[in-house]
Amino acid sequence: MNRDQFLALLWLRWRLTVNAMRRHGELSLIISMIFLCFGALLAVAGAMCGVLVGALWLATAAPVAHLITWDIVAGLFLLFWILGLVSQLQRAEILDLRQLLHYPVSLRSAFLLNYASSLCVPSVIFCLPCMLGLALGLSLGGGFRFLLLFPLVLGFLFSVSAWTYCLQGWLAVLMENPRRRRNVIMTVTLVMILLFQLPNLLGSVSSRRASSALSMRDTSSGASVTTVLQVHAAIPVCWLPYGARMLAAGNVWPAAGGALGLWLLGGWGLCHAYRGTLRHYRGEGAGRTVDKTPMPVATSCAPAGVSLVEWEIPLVPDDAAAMAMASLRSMLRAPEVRMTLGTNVAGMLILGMANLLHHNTAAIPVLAKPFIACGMVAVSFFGVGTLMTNQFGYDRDGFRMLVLLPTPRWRILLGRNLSLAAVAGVIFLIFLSLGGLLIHLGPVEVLLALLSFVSMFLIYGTLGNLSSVLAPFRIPAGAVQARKVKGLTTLLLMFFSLVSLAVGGLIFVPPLMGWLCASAGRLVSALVTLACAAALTGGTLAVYWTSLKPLGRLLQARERQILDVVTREKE
Amino acid sequence: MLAVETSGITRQFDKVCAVDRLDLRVESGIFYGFLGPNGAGKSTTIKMLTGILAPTRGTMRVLEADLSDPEAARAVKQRVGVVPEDLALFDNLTAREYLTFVGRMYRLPPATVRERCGELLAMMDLAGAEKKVTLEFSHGMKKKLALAAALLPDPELLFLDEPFEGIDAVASRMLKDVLLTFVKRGRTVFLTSHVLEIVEKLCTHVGIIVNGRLVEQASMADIRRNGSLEERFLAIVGNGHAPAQKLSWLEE
Repeated sequence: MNRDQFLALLWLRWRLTVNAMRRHGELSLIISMIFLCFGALLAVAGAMCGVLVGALWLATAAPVAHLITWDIVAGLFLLFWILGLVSQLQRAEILDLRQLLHYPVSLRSAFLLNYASSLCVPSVIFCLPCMLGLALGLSLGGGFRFLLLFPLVLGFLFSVSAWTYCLQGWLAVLMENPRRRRNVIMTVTLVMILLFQLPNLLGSVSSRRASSALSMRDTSSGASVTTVLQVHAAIPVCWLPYGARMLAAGNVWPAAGGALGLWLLGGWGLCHAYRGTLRHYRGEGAGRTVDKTPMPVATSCAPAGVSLVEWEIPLVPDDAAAMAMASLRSMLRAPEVRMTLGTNVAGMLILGMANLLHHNTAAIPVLAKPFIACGMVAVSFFGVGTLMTNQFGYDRDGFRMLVLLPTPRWRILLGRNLSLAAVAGVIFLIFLSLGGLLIHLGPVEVLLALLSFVSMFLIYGTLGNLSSVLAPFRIPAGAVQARKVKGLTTLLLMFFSLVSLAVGGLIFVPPLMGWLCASAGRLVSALVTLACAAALTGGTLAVYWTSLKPLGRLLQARERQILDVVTREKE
Repeated sequence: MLAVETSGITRQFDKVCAVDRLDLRVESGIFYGFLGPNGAGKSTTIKMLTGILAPTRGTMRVLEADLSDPEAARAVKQRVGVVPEDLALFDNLTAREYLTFVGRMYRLPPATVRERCGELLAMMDLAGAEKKVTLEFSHGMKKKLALAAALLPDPELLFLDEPFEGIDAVASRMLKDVLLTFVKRGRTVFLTSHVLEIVEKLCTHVGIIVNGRLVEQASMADIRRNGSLEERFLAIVGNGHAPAQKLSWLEE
């Protein structure tokens, strides 16, 4: 690649970035510029702080302090790096190599340019100056031997970025199939979320143990240092903070060896990534298996059996049932929906388990159990609520089909609601089963929970239908969140969330009434609770049913606007 | 009976007038080709006629239903099949599931849905991709599926926006035969296409739109009397001039 080509490619990247920002509107461009300036200032400030901390405090501190400080810095860098990686996975690569290969540019040059531009990310722009500043401060305050921190830091960055690039390349090959692409994105994001949630559960478990044996524990600083060192036994030898610790202890060879190791590791990673790219573009990729079996010839087109989409629902009009079944089938396959529900259920289970591990479940008062049962109902709607308030956002181009259909719109709403009822029902049953086992819920609480579930579903259904029609927003394929939502839509969504919380709180009224009648005896209290719950279910059913047809008419009146919103961004 | 009738329909996008006072009259039982250069307003017209887009001004009647009445506009969809420019498929359904869904939404009996799904999948050569969801389909496969969905309810009027774009020669031939049979049964096809040869071969009537305005509406027989459709089209769209621009380095 000659200089002109290199400059042309740099210009191309710059134009693509600027045009992408412009496409999002002038306000977005201004906000991006403000963030950029703020980020640059932050990076400069971070570098200066690094110099000051390094020169004035850390240079004279004990080697373990060096270890912990660099642990924090490297850990923060890795955290931002991983977050950036997840968000990068969710959007297409700006400059695909294949867009360049028909020009007179070598694959190696294009590969290196792409790798170099992968370093232009916020985590590097903000963290690298801090790390280099810290290294400079230590060199100024602690002596020349700390200059070795520069190759160590840069080697660390090179190694992390090269192997990440290798991983990205591997994932890109995997993601060539659009369906697999969304599953990969979903799995990576889910793993990251669970990884970040895991310390919460582990913390709860360890704090429980700690609280039980507090008096026997030695909490002196010496013990903490020992713990830190024990934890480091599980970290690989080329970990940047090891080198920093050894340099502080006056031993330069481990740091020099570490730097060399990191550079070699990075080089190996980059070579590996390049070989993978080469294999892929030659069609020899390990990620792609060529199916040599011939395509089956359509001799018979009879279906194997009755599919989910063909199921009927008793008492429900056939087109509404078809809508419900097709939506359910679609949702069960959509990774973004599975991710929304999966992260929510996993998060709730982790939080719930952590809380239950903290408390003695046998000591929960009988009168509190109806409230807990209703709480489980509320919790099971946290994830589904997101889907219910934006029922058309996941349809994207599919919504065009709904506009073209002759079906009365209230039946479309009914079908959508029923499909979500099935999803919410499964989540609710998971929570109820776990709750039943761990808190020993009785038949009254279970019946109350079932009635409350129906009431809650009808409340969310009514408000969700209104919200979906008035404040729709597009969810891009493979993502869990909208990339840009209008200000008015955001305000409406906030309003609906608040109203849903307030109205959804009605399910706690029956246990409250039961609690107020507790002095009359347990039987009376249970009967009052169940009667109130049944009345609430009847009331919400009446409101839901009455609102369905007017909301259908509203959907029909607004369907073109909704279509415009949910199909606007091309995939 | 008129299948499509518009009176002064106009569609404005900010300052751009995509369709300008369009007066269309399409008789029932004909194969109508709607032609025009890129950006002339063909797809916008189809979108307005199928209810995907609202006109800024003007009135429209499809199969004698007044589209300004929301209930009539919804009810007439039962008798209309559409292949829009941007396809209307659900990413996460297989071809059979999608067709089953469409059949049920048009309230066809389950046995009919099954039978027609099988025939359409075989005809469009999609039966081999039974386990793939539409997200994994190529553009051509998606187009075929959209066509199958439009034909499934046996509509009286078909709106097809570039139906032959991206589909293979075998399916294209089969589709042409199906559409000709469809019209022979007294049904109407309203089709847009860039391929003049296809339009000339299939259509009985054509309308030509340029810059949002209808500049020609005639039967194919009338057009052929004065030459080919291509000549007529170029005469209207290119104002009779051959491209004057030349590339200097190719001329040397």
